[in-house]
Amino acid sequence: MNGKTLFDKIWEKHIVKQIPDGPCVLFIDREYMHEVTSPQAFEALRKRGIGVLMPHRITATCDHNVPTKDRVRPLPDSLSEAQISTIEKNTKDFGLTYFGLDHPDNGIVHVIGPELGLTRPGMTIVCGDSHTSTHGALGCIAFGIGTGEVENVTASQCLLQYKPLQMRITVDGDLQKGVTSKDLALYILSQKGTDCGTKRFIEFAGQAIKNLSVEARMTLCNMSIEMGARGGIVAPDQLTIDYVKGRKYAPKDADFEKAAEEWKLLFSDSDAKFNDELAFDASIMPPMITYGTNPGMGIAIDGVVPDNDSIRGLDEALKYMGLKRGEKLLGKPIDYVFIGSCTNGRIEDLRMAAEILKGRKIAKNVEVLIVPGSNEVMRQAEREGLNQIFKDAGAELRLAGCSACLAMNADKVPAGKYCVSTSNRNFEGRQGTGARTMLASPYTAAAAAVTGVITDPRNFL
Amino acid sequence: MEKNNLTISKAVPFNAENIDTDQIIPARFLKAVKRGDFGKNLFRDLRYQSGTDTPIADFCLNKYPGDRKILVAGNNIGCGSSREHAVWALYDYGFRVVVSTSFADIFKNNSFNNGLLPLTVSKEYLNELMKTITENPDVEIRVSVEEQTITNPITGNVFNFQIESFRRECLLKGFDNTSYLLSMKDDIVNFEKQHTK
Repeated sequence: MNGKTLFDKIWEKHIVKQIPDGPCVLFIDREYMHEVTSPQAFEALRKRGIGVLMPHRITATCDHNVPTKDRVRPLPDSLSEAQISTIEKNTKDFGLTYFGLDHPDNGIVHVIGPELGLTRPGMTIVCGDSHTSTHGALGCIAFGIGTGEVENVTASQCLLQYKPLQMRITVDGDLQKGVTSKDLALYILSQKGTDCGTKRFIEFAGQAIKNLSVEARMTLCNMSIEMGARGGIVAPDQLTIDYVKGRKYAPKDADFEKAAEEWKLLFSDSDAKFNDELAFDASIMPPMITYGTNPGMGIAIDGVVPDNDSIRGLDEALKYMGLKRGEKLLGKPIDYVFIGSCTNGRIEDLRMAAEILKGRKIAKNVEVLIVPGSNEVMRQAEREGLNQIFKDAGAELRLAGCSACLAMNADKVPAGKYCVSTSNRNFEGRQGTGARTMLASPYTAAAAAVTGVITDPRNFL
Repeated sequence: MEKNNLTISKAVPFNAENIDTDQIIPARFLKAVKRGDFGKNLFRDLRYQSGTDTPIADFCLNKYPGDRKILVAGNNIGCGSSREHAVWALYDYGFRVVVSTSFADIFKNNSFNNGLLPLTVSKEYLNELMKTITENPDVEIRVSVEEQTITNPITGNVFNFQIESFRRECLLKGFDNTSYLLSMKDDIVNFEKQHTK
């Protein structure tokens, strides 16, 4: 008999019932909610005349369409105001914990979960949002669900699930200076495409992954969904344990020690079998940037746009982006820089940006939006003096939220404008109708902010 | 969700392949907020002349009017967009069974979860059934979820179809996913107690 994968071990611990010739009833340790995908689920509960089975396992926030300039109610956008009023009412009516607009713990759902110690190794976690995969960085099974499933979990704390296939991506070698886990994710995507993980859960393993901080692992797991996977996961280690320790809602003292002992058992056995295995060498990975309209269309920062007919949709993408085959991106003028999102809106990301912006000024032709992932990230940035660095550089520091990642609020990139963005998707229109998004790391985004053109961040490090 | 066990009904033959969800319910009708209202726009653009309420006489729903709970369709029905509204439209119109040789995956799941039986038969059986209904519009077809059989009363041919036992149980008991999970509430509560020890 084969050994078990990390995923197997967590999955099996959460099976309430395996239905013969059917899915299993999977227990969900924690459900996160936000204002966009939850209203219909509550409506369904009301229609059935039932309540929430386990309110203590649900945490709600608002993040997708919150304004990042000021938060005076009612919000100027009536749809946003309606969604936020609805989640306020729903969480109140059903007795759920809600970190609302003016709550100190408010922030992007995938930033606050780990930050508050609500996300912990060994858990099953769901949310009506594809980037729920982020939480896998702490060694849990975390995945996005549809609204019908939000109803399932809210009503029963369970989901009917078929076990996904499993893939392992092993990354050895050392990431070079100026190369981050965002570049690592964009590199894998550029090599294997946006469907390499379809129907799969991806375990990221290898020395390069062990060397990443927990926050850097979150960036990588966040992007696993862009590989088509249901989610990503990294085995918890001492770094993970240290990360969780002392967080607001993490277990304390003896309870914590006991939990940590269990977390240490969460790893894939040496004889565990995966459906697929991929391997990469981190030492050859460059800082990356995307040139096209899906996250798989990425190149080395000093590379050229591919002239390759085998890339599906290349010409349509280049037309949208206003780029040509064979064109070099270094030196190309840009208009906007967005640093933030559930991919790169944590304190380490802001530190990276500050490392480059410190003592420098942002270029005149560029508008720079720095949006912390949570109120806590904002306070921490203040404590560390990062806010001052950003202000001195002339960058605009905003309030926490999803912001220009998906432009559901007022933070949009105008049509035809180029935005170097630390977010996760460069789809057509994602950052605003006609907006041209180039995905990159916080280093690369900050370097472009300083020069006003696409720049190799290693020049500044 | 209502139970779906025995259906004895006249049928509508829709002799076309790859009937996608956009044909079943065009995107412009997705904004309706209430369930139960989608049936009137089922196959809207095939059923009515463009921009009017004038029925296209040749279209199967108009040709075979009245209370009919079974739709017999060509291969690969339900492809395209994942919209659950397609299933709601068929269900709201009155269908409880769709017979075909294959179903798009998401459409199939959505069907089961809404009490609409996607019934897979062989190509030969489908052709024969299509012929029978076309020639005898008032014939009543019998479908039993309990027995997993469909019966063509004209030829007397019975087809034994297969569905996962879990899906079958849900149809027989009228359980959608939420109701199924709620039926296990005690088990789930007990599980949590053990789980958090």
